[in-house]
Amino acid sequence: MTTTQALVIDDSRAMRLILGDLLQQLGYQTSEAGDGQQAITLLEGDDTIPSLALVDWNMPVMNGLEFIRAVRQKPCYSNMKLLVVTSEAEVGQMVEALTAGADEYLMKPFSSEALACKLEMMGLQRAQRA
Amino acid sequence: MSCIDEHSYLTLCNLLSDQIALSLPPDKVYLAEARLQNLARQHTHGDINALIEKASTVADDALRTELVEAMAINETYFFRDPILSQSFLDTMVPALLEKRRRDKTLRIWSAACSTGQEAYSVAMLLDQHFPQLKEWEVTLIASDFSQSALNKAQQGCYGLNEMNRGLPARNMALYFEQQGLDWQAKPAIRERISFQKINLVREWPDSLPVFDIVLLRNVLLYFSMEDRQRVLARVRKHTANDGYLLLGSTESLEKTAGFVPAIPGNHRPFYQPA
Repeated sequence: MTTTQALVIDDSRAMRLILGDLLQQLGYQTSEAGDGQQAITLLEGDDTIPSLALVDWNMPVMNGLEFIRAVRQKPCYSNMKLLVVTSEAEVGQMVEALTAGADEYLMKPFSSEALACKLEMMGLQRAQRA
Repeated sequence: MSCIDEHSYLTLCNLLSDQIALSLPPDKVYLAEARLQNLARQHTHGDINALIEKASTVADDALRTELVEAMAINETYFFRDPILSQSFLDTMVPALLEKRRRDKTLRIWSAACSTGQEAYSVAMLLDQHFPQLKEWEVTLIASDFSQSALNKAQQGCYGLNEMNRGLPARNMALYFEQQGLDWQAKPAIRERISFQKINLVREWPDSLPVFDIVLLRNVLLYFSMEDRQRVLARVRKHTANDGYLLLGSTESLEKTAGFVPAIPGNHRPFYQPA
């Protein structure tokens, strides 16, 4: 089942809090993981597939790019939108992320408006609050 | 911060109305104070009332221009509102490709382009979705009253926050290149746009052609009813009879404006000449 849940994957706890807060303001329910591997474990242990994952690039154990490649190989996650949120602003990395299956790319630092704008571009309307 | 007194605020309102037809409501004193602070520091030791007085009475066009530009609303971003892409992709360009298939010309005007994101969005849309236009003579004019906004538009150089707002990552990678911390539109896309200084409420250049598509988005809402009618009447003369006018997503036109909804029953923001 797809819901208005969002998964925040970032090795920085502060960043997870900030992103989680911004997403909650947009009406999302959020869960979080500190690296790609933790995120996969979380996804596999839950019947609910988030409609969105915010993915950092540089993380220990499994980085953002490896996470994107891993989930894009599994058809059950094909509807999950992947937004890379990173301070990596090289065109080459952007292209690499998009080629691997990311839907969009947001460069840090960013405003809450820029995040909302990206979600809208990705076809994700502001989630309805319960 | 110095506060603007009633007399100075009235002077400022009149100046903005005269220069760019900006109708500043009475309750925006705080906005004027915030926007003119820096300029007042540079020119009148932080005294905003003195700044307004100087700009409105002394024959100092440069200061007047600086003040008006500081008060102007330059809010814009790439692919602002889905109606921009939708109207280009679904209606306007497909129809015009058919209507202009003999002379193969297409003329588009971004009539208040501010810092240029709208014009670049159009150039990218045409490039990505209508490759056949490479054989056509496509004119894309982007204009604004503000020289500083136009300079930025012409450079096509944007900071991170501007790049993050509305621009798909694919377009960023395809059409922009990094310049330090900023990103600049590649020459191939910049060269497709002709930038001109045009104040909508002053004289327009004689060379301004009749356009197939006019983008007049989020501008009319700042004008008085009188200025709005005057500008629309002139825009009508510069819009081909079978052309289109696109406004901002929350704007609509009165029945007397000389335009009718391009999609019957849908009263905004997409119009054709009546």
